[in-house]
Amino acid sequence: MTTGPRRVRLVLALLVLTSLTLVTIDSRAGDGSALDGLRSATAAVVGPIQRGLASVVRPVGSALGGLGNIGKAGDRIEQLERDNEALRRELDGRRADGQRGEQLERLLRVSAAGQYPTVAAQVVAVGGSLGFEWTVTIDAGTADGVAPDMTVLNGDGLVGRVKSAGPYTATVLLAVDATSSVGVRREGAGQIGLAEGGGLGPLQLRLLDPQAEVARGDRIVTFGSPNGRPFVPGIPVGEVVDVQETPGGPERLADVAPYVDFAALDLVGVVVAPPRVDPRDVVLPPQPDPTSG
Amino acid sequence: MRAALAVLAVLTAVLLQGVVLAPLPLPGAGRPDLVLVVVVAFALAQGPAVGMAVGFGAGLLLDLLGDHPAGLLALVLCLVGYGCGVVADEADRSTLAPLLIVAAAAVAATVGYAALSALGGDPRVSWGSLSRALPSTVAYDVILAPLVVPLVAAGSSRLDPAAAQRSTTRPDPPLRSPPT
Repeated sequence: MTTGPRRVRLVLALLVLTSLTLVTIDSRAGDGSALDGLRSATAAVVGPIQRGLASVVRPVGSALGGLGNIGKAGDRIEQLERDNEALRRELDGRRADGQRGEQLERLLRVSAAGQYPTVAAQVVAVGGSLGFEWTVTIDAGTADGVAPDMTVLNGDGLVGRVKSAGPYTATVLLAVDATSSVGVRREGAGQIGLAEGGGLGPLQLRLLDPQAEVARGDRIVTFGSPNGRPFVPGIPVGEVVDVQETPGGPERLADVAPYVDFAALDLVGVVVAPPRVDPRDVVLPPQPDPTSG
Repeated sequence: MRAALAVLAVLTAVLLQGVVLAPLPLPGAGRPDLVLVVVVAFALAQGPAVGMAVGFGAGLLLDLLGDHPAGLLALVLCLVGYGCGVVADEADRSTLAPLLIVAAAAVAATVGYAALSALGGDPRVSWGSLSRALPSTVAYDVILAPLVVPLVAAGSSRLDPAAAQRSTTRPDPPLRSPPT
């Protein structure tokens, strides 16, 4: 049956109007949109299918299975050491993906160094339709203790923060996204600033003090937010590669190359509670000896 | 029945896009957009009414899974689906025509989405990132087209051969000239 052209155009106008209404509702509400329930429901339905497809498409990391929530205050280190030993034995005995095992070890080392209670998760999907958002979907959700505004890291450093969480999956806003802004400080110093995402390029560091000293090679870690939400302190962010000389300007700007390879995210950890003590610079690897090599 | 095919196709495209295509380390700043190509394929196979409906539905699903105001992609893909459906008859003219339509749709969708986002004050959109990503996005979409368009067309005609003729925006031309 051929649909009349006028009726088609009427329905088109209706769909356009509906879209614009949705945009208005969703944009105006800021962080608590009326559509959040719909988003959560969509994630609840699509999430498990994404997880299933991802487990088929990528080699299954069987070592991840029993990791779950790592310890609480006091038992944390022992728990991590036990898990680490068990996992090492498991990895030795299995024909696991070598790379995945290495990522897990690095993640565990970072978690242990900073005493961050962490839930491990795998990236199952990459977001950003028509290419402006830098987000990934991970296979951990509210059922695993993940909630919005939690820090996400991997064995190399800061990955981003949880933007929204469905029951089985969560969306992570990556640190390189243009809307991501992380409070940071220089290693060993108190100078604070903001590291903002620049997409494919380096992070943009704005130091709030125009007199601040910053030089190539400086290492940057997270400063930490109140209650550790969204960012816990002490997570390595990146290294300064270029300082912009704008004498007399209101702030100092620098380019920071992130430690994390955002094009190859696989295993990540979600910090589900802040560390009891600010780890300061402990999580950063020791500086390479300038006299060697 | 046709509706079920469309829903399944859109869901499959969204899943494959996120889990398989987007993580691929491909050269260029852009990425293939399987969902867009599927919307165009439906518009070319079944006309503007189906094109706009599939576009709206697919766009809304992407909006709800994404991190931007809902309704933006629904609007963009709805209009792109309608537009491609209107020129669907031209797609039969040559083998190159569907590829050109997909390319045009890719440009329209990317630029349209960027413009609407920028109007809404989204800080992510910049002319620089758009111009960097556009050529490779269009190229990847054109590469996907010969795989997706015939598949959707075959599925549409097999499921409903009587309705395989498109619903158009203008009345069908008379089959033969009236007797003088």
